Amino acid sequence: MAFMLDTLLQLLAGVPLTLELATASVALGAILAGVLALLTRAGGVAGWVARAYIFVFRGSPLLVQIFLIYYGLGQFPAVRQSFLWPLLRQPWWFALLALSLNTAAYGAEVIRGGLLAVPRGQAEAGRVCGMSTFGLYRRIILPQALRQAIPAYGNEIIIMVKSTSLASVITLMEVTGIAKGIISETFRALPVFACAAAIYLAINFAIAGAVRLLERRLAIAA
Amino acid sequence: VDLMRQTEVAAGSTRLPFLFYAAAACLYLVLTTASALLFRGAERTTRRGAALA
Repeated sequence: MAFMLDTLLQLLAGVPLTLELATASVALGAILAGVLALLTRAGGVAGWVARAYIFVFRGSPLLVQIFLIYYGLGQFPAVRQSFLWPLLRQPWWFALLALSLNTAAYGAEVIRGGLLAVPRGQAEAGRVCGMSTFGLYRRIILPQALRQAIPAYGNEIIIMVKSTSLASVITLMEVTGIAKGIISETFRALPVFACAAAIYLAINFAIAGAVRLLERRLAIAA
Repeated sequence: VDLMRQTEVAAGSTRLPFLFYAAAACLYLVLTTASALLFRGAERTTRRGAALA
């Protein structure tokens, strides 16, 4: 029991980094996801590029993407000699980049689903009232689409919290990284990973609650 | 030894991580395309006749 408590305290030290990576990547990813979702509707080259992006990042594993960015980019001298390298050399930025690019692809599909759920009549009515395309999206389509997308997007946020555990493979000492370290010292895999799982569970419990609260606040009074 | 492990070994021994991880990503894309196509088809079928907002 003393070991469990000690482990838990050690693992808790990794929680700030886990939350940092999760919030930063979800925030960045959400912005990119919104842009991508709107672009998929645009048609032409922009729509094609957005769909190709979603295809690639949704269709390949996050672990491969992390390795590709972390080990792969460093292979090119041009990248190593660029002014961005001192920044990029830190694994934190690689992890943030990979996580954000990945969640953007999933988020874009979630938002696209929300946009599809808005009835055509709503947009037509807005047009008849003389709204511009921008006004139509801002006041009619997006509010309804985003409300529709919240449950699925909450899902994506929870998945991102768990995905930050993959950052441990590029030496970041977040919860999973610390857990691996303790296990290699003590060889007690089960209690240590159980503690790590409990921490992720607690974080995601809070997130699920927050998403449900948001859902309830935005629900139409029936 | 699955696709991922094989890729790690290849990337490590040849020192060409970008090439091999890109190749692995392509192979995974081939595998996931099947389900992507399936869902695109399902989406088209269920949305038949319905216009977009």
